[in-house]
Amino acid sequence: MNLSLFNNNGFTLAQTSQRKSAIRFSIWIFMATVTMLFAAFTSALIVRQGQGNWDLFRFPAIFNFSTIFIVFSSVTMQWAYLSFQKQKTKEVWMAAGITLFAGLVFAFSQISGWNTLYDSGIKLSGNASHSFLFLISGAHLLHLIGGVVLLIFFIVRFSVTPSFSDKITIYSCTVIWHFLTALWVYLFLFLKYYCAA
Amino acid sequence: METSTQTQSTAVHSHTNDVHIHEHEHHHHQSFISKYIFSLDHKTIGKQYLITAIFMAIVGMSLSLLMRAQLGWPGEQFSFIGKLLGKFAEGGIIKPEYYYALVTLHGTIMVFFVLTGGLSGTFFNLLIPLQIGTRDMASPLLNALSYWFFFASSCVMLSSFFVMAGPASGGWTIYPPLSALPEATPGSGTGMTLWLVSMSLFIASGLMGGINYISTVINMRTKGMSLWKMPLTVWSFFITAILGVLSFPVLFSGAIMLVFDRSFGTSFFLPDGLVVADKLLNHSGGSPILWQHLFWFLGHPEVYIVLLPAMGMVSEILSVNARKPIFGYKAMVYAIMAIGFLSFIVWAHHMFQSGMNPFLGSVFVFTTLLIAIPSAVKTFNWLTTLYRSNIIFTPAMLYALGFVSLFITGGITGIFLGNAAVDIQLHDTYFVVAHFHLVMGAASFFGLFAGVYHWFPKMFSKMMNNTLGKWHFWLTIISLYCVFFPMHYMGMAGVPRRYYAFTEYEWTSMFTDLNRFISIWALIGGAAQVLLIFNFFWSMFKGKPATANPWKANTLEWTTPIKPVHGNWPGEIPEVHRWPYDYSKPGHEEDYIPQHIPYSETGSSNRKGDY
Amino acid sequence: MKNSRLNATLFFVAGIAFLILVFYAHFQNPQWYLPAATSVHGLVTDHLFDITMWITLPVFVITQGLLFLFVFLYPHRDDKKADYYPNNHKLELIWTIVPAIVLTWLIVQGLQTWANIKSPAPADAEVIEVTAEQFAWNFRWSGKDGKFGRNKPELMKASTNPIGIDFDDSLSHDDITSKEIFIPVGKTVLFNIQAKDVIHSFYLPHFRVKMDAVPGMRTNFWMNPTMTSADKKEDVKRTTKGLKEVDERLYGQVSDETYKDANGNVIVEKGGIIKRAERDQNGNLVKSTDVVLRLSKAGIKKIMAYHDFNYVLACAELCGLGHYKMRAAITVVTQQEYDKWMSEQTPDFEYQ
Repeated sequence: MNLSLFNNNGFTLAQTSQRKSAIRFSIWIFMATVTMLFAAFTSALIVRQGQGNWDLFRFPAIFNFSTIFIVFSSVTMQWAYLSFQKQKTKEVWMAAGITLFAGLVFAFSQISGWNTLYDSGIKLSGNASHSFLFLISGAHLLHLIGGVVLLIFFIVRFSVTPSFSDKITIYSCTVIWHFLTALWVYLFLFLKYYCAA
Repeated sequence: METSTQTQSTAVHSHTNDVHIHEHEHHHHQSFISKYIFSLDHKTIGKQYLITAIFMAIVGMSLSLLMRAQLGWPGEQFSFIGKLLGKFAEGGIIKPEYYYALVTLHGTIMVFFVLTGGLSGTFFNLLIPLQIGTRDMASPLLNALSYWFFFASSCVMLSSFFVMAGPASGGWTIYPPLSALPEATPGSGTGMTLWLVSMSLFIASGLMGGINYISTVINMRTKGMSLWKMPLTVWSFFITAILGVLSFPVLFSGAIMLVFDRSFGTSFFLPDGLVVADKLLNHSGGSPILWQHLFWFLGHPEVYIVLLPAMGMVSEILSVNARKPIFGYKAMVYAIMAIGFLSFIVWAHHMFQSGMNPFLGSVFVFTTLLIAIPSAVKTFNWLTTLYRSNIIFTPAMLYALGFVSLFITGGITGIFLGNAAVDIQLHDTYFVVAHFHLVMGAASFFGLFAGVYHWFPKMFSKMMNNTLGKWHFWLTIISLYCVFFPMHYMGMAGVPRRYYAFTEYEWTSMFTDLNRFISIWALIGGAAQVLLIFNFFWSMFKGKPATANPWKANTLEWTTPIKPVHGNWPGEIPEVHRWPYDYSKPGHEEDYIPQHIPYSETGSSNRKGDY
Repeated sequence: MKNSRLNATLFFVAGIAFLILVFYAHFQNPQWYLPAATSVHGLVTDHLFDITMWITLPVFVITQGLLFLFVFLYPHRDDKKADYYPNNHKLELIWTIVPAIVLTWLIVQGLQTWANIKSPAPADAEVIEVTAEQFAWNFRWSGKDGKFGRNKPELMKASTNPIGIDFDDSLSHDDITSKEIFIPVGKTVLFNIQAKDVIHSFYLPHFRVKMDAVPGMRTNFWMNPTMTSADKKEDVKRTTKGLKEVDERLYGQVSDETYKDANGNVIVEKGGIIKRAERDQNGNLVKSTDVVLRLSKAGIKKIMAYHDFNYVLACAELCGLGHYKMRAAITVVTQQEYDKWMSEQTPDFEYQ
């Protein structure tokens, strides 16, 4: 039994094209649910901020770097996607690798950003503005790790069998990656607006 | 048209693929485990959901009967309850801490595990692929995962009964600070942790299911099945899935924040200066009302997540058994959409007396009462469907008719509750209990029952016993009305809900015998469910063999073989030519024309402007 | 199909029986219907309730009636076909627009009432501060200066200073506290509501007052009582007095005569409350304390009794194990009685 996400359940190729578009569509619905999750977090923040007792604090500079990194990784992801369309194996390899690396750098810089905050006394259990920052950026990072796992899955599979027939995995990787980038840029600006001194 | 080109290209491929299916079936014998346990087949997954939900429904109902025992006979010592619950009911009297756990878990199990997980899980899985004409869900694996998350979350929820301090006991709405502080009530310790873990798994399951349902309906319809040819069942399932996918993440966000408040010292919902049992707690600045907004943003759509599928199935069953097209098909669809949309902007009517800004309350009065309009349209359309019809009284039909009656009774009281000024007296009283049990609890259960009786032949290739089914219906609806109708009176007098006993106040004691009356009918209603459970399992093995289309219905599921096959249709998937409600069409000999019959074969009955 | 006819008739009979029972239950127990409010705004909301009832009751009867009627009229006949009647735009338009108009009217009525109830209290209102805790209510009056002293969470001790009054604040020195509410009839009272621990709900059923007590914020509700406790008690006595059968329904009612058993022992005195069996130290019921049991043992079939009445404050938001008995008394008195009561109170400060 082939337990891939895009498995066809025994009667293999029946309705294949329908199923392919269904998978693509599912990714968009998935992103809608994630959007709702963060919409809930951010609106909760606005409601909470409106009630006062809201501490503004200095954002560590490293969050700026991580934002630049994730935007950069989105560009390379797009490069990987286009190379895949043009069936350029080497470039797919390189672009996907750089994206993965940039993604990991983003993750580590987020963590080191939290460290900096903790060192300056801004903690999860502190003022609500602090809690919201950790909560929202943490939830985003968890989603990004999901994206990284998907990307690793793609790279491993591509290195085992470098075939260009499965377009869906690279498609979902790319779309989700861009989505997470856009999401972070939004969250970053949002948090900066509401929490930064 | 995008979809039609898509389906055409599939049809070209499908012949060769179908050959493949045959070979597959012949050469590969699935083991028991892969066929029944870790099955990826939507029909099996639907049945798994149903069996799990039946079990959870038995648990949920038993909890309510224990509650009724306490309310009907306060202080009476029932030795069997003492034996059953041990230290939670020493001397046979249920303790308050356990009573509140019963309140909480009865609500949680019935709303989420039976009427959301069970109802949607069963019928969405079974009917979406069969009625839109596809071989399985968009992602069968995700579908199976969704079930196993549901199963796991059920197990976690039930496991909380075995926690020392008892299960969660803050009500199914788990309002903090009560739910966040173990100091405030014993159930907010491990019991509440398990509740949150279970609900997180449940939400994950619901989202996986929902994503799958939506993309299946959008992408996988057979040739000719345009959106306006879909049965109302599929329409209601589709809108319900959208509601779920958009609202459950919001509850999830609230649950995460509550977990943080409980375990990591944050103060999202916990304000400063909390003094519990003379101890000053170290929280600052949180807002308990914030939780209510997040909860009810899910909580209200949730009501329609429970109710809309029942409406869809009832529409279908009414039409089939009345042998008459559903009246105002398009209006019905628009009503479903309107209800779905409005359900997102009415949540704060649960919070009129919560201390939120009264102006906000006014806005929600307006949106809430608007929901009565599409609801009225649906009711009148059901009634008109019955006008000059030709009704066959199957058990499913009886339940569909019962649904309409319950929906009217329960819906009308919503007009009282939706008006903030009138709601001052009625909020959080038994009037509310009566209202939502009738309009969403009992009515959705009737949808579920109707669905089980109607589609049982499709699930198990056997027929259920009609006589037992009818006895079950009559006993159930009579006891339901006897249980919930009197509660309106208690609510008018202002008897609050979630009271362990009414003996503490003179003003509630006038209802002593009314409460006993309610409890007795609850027991009768509970006992009546044995008929269903017996009928269900007995018919599964010993029922009369089903025929291919026992109800003479038009929808596609009745074109599949009696014995279900993997991939649903052994040959090509039928192409759809007409809407699903061509019943008693003048000029046609039979009183039904299935969706896959082309107009070329029904020359005598075709009319201008056919759907 | 004989079966069809049977089912159709059954449905019709059950449906009509249902409608008849609804009305029968109502006219048998008129006291069950929304009991009269005793506050000015309560009379308005009750009126709105009645209007809604008069609008929805016909809808209820007509729609349910049509359901049963159609089921009765159209059971399956093999020689007959149903009408092919898929839609009628005019009809559908009518039953979209008519409910819309009626609802709009209801909404307008409701919002006006709501806005009045939620408008700021008149400046001369008597202010009472309400503090809810598991599972008790605390009330405070500002005293002569008309100003409340500070309260602080860290000073809150349930036994000595449940509200946490800060006596360093001189405004608190004439503040009066109580575990019961006293209010004058015909005067506006503003309740300022807060909670110490979890969410409670300040609910005065007879006055149509309900407002959550939320920790971390203050909520309020104002009302104007129309009837003193004594008048209401007399009113209820007059309307409920009668010769009543000796059964469980008597619990909580007041006996209008003294009843004795065969040995001449008093079972219940005139004006005494008909009590349930009490429990001994081990929690077992002592049957000899049960008034109803003793009455029926003594062979008394009917007694003269009436309902007792007391205004009450109840909690209406699940707040923990004692939620169901989190009550407090509320007494409405005349202005003279109120002034007298107030003058007899000693500020907490003087106990310190």
